[in-house]
Amino acid sequence: MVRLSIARAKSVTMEMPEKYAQLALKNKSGEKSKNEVTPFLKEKIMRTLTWREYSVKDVKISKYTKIENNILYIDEELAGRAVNINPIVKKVTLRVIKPGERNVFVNSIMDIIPVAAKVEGKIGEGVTHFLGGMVVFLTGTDEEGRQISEFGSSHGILNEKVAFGMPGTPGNREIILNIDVVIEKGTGMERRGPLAAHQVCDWILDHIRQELKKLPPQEAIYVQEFKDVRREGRPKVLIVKELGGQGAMHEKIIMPSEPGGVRGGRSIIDLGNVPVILSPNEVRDGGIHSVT
Amino acid sequence: MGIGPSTKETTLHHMNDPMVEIVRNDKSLDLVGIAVVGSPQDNLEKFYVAKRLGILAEALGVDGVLIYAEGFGNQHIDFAAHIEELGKRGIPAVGLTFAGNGLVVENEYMEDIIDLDKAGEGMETEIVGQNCVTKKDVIKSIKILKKKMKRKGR
Repeated sequence: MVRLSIARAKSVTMEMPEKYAQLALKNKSGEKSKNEVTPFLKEKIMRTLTWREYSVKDVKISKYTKIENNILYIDEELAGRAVNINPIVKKVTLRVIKPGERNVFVNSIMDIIPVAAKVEGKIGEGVTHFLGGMVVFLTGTDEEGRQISEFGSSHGILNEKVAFGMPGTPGNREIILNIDVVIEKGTGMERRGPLAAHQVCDWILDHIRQELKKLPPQEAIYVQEFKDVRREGRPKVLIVKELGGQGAMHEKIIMPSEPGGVRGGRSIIDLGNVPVILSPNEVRDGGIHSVT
Repeated sequence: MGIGPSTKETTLHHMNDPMVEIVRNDKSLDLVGIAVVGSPQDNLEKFYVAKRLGILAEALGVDGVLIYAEGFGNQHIDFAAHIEELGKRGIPAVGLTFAGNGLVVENEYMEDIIDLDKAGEGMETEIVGQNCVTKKDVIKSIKILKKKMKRKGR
């Protein structure tokens, strides 16, 4: 009928009437065709997460905490009150870094945290409000001025110390709320030191979250639904994330009460470092907090 | 940050994790979940958690594993142990980590490791977020994993 033999070729296109093509394929596959049939895709939806995104165009240190007309106001007194949360933390400073002002000095960056709050349900399902346009940088030193870091420190000029635009860092347009902490001398290399810094930071963020929860659904600039689905018949894949579990900047908080928070979660160290399964929605909804 | 700023995943990274987002949206795969496993200090404990991971993957009956390890140095001892536990059970795995100047330990099952070193310097650059998992790394690793699973008949 048709015979074609090619020894070495690049981008070969063959055209023929459909009936011949069908015939040719049928003859070639023969017994194989039974295995190659794609199984009918059955998707089972396990849970749904509604993600409402809000945006701020400015962040201001003020006399009260409020989100109004796309501006986030943060009570300056929160910094002073925050030291009562954990006695290891001696001082907290709030600072706003605008996108064009990243040529400033920052202490060792301990974490980059987005602000998000649960409105309905627990982490991984229900409704989450996410505050776009801004991100939180937690930085810190100890009382003697020693950077909270271990092997390599990220203190220095912000612009040079962060690869912006990566999955774990903000883009060029985000406003940075810098929460800088000073912890008890010598505790930077102990588990309790960095953990205290994260707790205090989370306490401040809780105040912003309270305001974020109040925003009406119609003011959201973007709404998205995330679904945990299982696809019957497809190859089963497991993602494994091996994360630090040695204490003092090698710790994770698993499944906190608020997205990306600390409160209500369990430390991976206290969980014995054994594998714990999270659903994709739970990871998306901030089920892992890095105490890096 | 601990070891080290360029390889640590921030809280923001976990929420945006391209590894999770790309695999969950791939209609040719069934993502069973994300196993979070800690990296303990002690070597005996490292092998303890690796064994648990192997048994967990076996119990879940998974066809393939994408495994990421944060940081470098002694964390690669568990990384190697995890892949060995999976390999012994015939579960294909593709690893993603900052290998830098090479891993401290290796074994016969570690044939597919994707190095996350973006700077190409093979060392800690002290720049936050620089040597983390990106979309490109994930697409590459899924491609390899699919090939490996196919060879196993999946």
